[in-house]
Amino acid sequence: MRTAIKWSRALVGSLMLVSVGAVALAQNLTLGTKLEVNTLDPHFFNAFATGSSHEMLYEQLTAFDNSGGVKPRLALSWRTVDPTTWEFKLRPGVKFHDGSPFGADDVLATLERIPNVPNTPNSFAQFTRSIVRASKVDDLTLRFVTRDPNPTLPLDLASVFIVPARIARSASTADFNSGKAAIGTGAYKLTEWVNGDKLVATRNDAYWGSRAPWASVTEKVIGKDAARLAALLSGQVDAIDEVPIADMPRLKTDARFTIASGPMALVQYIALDSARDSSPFVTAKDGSALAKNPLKDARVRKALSLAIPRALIVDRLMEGTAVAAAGPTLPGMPGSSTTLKPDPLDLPRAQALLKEAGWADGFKITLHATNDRYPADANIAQAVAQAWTRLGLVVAVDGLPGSVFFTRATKQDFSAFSAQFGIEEVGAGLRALLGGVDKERGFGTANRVRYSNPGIDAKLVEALATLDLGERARKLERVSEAYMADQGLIPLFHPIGDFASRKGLLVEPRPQRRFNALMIRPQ
Amino acid sequence: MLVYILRRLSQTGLVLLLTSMLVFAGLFLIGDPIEILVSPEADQVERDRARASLGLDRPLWAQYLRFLANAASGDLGTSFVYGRPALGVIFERMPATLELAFLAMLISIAVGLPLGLYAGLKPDSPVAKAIMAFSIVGFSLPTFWVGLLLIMVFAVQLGWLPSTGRGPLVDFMGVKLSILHWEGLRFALLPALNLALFKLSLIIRLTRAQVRENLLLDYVRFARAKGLRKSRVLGVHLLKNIMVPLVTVIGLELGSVIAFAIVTESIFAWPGMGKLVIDSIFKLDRPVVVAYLMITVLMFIGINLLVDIVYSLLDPRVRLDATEV
Repeated sequence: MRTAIKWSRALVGSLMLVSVGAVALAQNLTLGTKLEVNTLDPHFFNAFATGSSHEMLYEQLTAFDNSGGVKPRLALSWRTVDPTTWEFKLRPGVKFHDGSPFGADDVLATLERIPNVPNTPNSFAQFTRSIVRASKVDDLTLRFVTRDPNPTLPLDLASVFIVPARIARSASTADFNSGKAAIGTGAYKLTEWVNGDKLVATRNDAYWGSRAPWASVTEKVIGKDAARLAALLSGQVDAIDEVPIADMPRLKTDARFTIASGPMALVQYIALDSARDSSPFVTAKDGSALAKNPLKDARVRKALSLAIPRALIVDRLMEGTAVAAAGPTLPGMPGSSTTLKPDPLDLPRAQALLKEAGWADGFKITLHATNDRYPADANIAQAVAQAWTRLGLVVAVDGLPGSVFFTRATKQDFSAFSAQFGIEEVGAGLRALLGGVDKERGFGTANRVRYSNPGIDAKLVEALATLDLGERARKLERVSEAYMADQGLIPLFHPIGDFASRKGLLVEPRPQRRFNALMIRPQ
Repeated sequence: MLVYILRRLSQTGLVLLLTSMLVFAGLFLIGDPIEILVSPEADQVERDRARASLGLDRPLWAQYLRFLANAASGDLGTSFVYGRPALGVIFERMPATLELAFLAMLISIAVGLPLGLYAGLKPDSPVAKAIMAFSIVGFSLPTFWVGLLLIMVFAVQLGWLPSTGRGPLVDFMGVKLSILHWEGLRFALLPALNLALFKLSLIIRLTRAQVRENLLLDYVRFARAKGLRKSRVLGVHLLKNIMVPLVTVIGLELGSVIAFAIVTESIFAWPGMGKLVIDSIFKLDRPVVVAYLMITVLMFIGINLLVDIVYSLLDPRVRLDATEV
C-alpha cells in the first residue's frame, strides 16, 4: 500500500515536472543560422552577421522597416532645422542593461567612438562621416550638422548601435567580446557567447518596449546547409534561415514545419564591360580580335538581356525562391521604378537588335561567376550562357571561388560577370553600382566594370541632393529607368529569403539579411 | 638522445620559415582581402583606411619582414576578420579540435586493436571476414557522406543523439572541455565516430597484417614451448612487436586528425580549428592561415619526434643516431 502511494506520488510529481518543463521549454528559442557573428563589439565589423545578432542586444536611433524606410527606435522623432542640420528627439525612460539611463551623452560618445575603433575590416564610419558636428540641446534632444545636405541621415543612423557613454569612452573590442562591455538597450541581454558556436541571450525584463516573447534565445551557427536542415528536422533547433533550395518542396509538404518567405533587398545581376574599346574576353567567333567592343552598344546589351529566360531561371534553378527583376532595386522601395517590368524572353527582338547594331554574325564572350558564394550561382551563369548561345553567340563560362573572383573583377579582368548586390537605400545603391567611378564624389564604389553615363549621373547627383523625400524618390525612379534603358547592367532576379520553423512559430521575413529572435513569435 | 632531439629541433626552424614564406606568397596570389571584407558600398576613403589599418598598403616583402620581426617575439599577426591576435583566435578553438581528435583516436585504437588482433588470430572465422569487409567499407566511404548519413540515422530518424554543435563546457585546469561529462559526450560521439572510421579501418588492417606476420616467427613458438600462457604470449610479446609500425601510423594519423578534421567540423558545426582555417582561407584572413599552418607544421614535427623516441623505447635494437651501417 505504502509502495503504491510512493509510486503514485512519484508519478504525479514527475508528470508535473514534465508539464512545467514543457511550458518553460516553450519559452526558449533555439535558432540555427548560417550567419556567423565574429564579435560582440557593435562598431567593429559592418556585416550581415553582426547586424543580425547585435540587433537583439543593442539598439539604434532609428530602425529599418520593411519597405526601405526607417521607423523610430531610440529616437522618437526627427526633423531638419535647415538643409544641413537635423534635430533628433530621444525616447525618455530607456535604461541600459546595467541599469544606467539612456540619454544624449550616450549617443555623442558612441558617435565619437565609431571612427576610432582600431583594426576594423569594415568600419561603421561610413554611416557617420556625413556628420561634422554633433551636439546636445538637452538630455533628450540632439543636433547633427552635416557637411552637405544629407536627406537620408536617419537611414544611415539605422546601422549605428548605441552603447553607454562610459563604455564608449573606455572599452576595447576585447572587452565587448569577453561580455564585460556588451551592454545595450535591446530586448535581450547577453548571457554567453562562444565564438563560432553559439550566442545565448535572456529576456531583458526592464525593456522599454513590448515584452519579448522568449525567456531565452540561443543562436547556433551551422554553416553547412544540410547540417542546418538536419538540426531542424531532428528538433535540435526551432527555426533556420537559408533553407536549401532543393529541400524546399519536401519541407512544404511536411506538416511539422512552416515556411516563411519574403523578398530580399538583393539583386542577382550581370555586369558587362562597356567602358573599354577592347575587352579581354570578347573576340570574334574564330578567336581573333574585334575592331570594336560590341558591349559598348546599348542595343547589344539590351539584346543580351532580352535573350535570358528569367521565368525559367526563377522557376527551375531557384525553385521559386526568387522573383524576376526589372531593375537593381526591390520594387516598393522609395526610388524603385513603378513602371519598369522585367525583360521578357524575346529572341526575335533580341536578334533584330543585334542585327541593327551590326553584330548579326555574333561574337565570342566568356561569362565569369562565383561558384561557392550565392545559391545556384554557377548554375545561373550556365543558364545565361546557354541563353546567349541560342541568340547566336559563342559563350564560355568560368566559375571561380569568391576569394579569387572579387579581386579579379575589381581589376577589370572580366568582360561579363554574374554577381549579387545588396541595396538597402535606392540612392546609395544606384550611386555605388551604376554611378560612374569618381573617388572624390564617392561614386561607383561597386561599379567594377566602370560603366559610365555622365548624363544620367548628373541626374543622379541632383536626385541625391533633393531634400524632400517624396520628390527625391520620384527623381530616383526616373534615374533608375534611365539606367535600365541604357542597360547599365542586366538585372536577373531578386532572391526570396526562406525561413523554416517548427509548427507554432511565426517568422517575419525582412528584406535585409537578418535572422534573430526579434523576427520570431509564437503563433 | 639529447643530441638527436636538438638536431631535430634545429631543422624545425628551417621548415617553419619555408612554410610561412609559401603561405604568405600563396594567399597574396589568390586575392585581395579588402575585396572580401569591406562592403562593396563603402567608398574609396573607407577602403584605403581599411587597407592601411590592416597593413596591406605596403609591398609584400615589407609585410613579410614585419611578420618575421613580430614572429620573433611570439606575435604571429592580428586576424583581419577578428581584430585579435591570430594565435589567440586559434588557441581559443584548439580545445574543441583536440578533444574531438582525442576521442576519435581513442575509439579507433580501443576498437581497432582488439578487432585487428581477433582478425589476425582467427583469420578464417566468419567474424574475422566480416571485420575485414567492414574495414574496406570504412576507408572507402567519403567522410562527408558518412557524416551526413550518421546525422540522418542517429539524429533525425532515431533521435538518439544531437545532430550538430558542441555540448556544454566544463572548466578543466583553465581549459574548457565538453567531453568530461555525459551530456557533452553525446554531442561529440557522432563527429568522433565520423573522424574515427578511416583510422579504425587502417588500424584493423595493419594490426591483422602484423599479427599474421608475427605469428609465424620463431619467438612465438619458443614462448609457447617455454610454457607461457597464451594470453601472455599475445598480450606482452606479440603486442610489443607489432607496436612499432602501429605507432608510426597512429602518429601520422593523430597529426592529420588534429590538423585536417575540416570536413567533419563543417558538417557537425563543431567550433574547432579546422572550420576556422577553412573560413579564413575563403575570407583571405592571412594571419590566421599563416599562424595555423605554422602550428600544424610544429605539431607534425613534434609528433614525429615523439614517435621516433617511442620507437627507441619499444625496440631496444633501434639506435636513434646510428651512423655506421
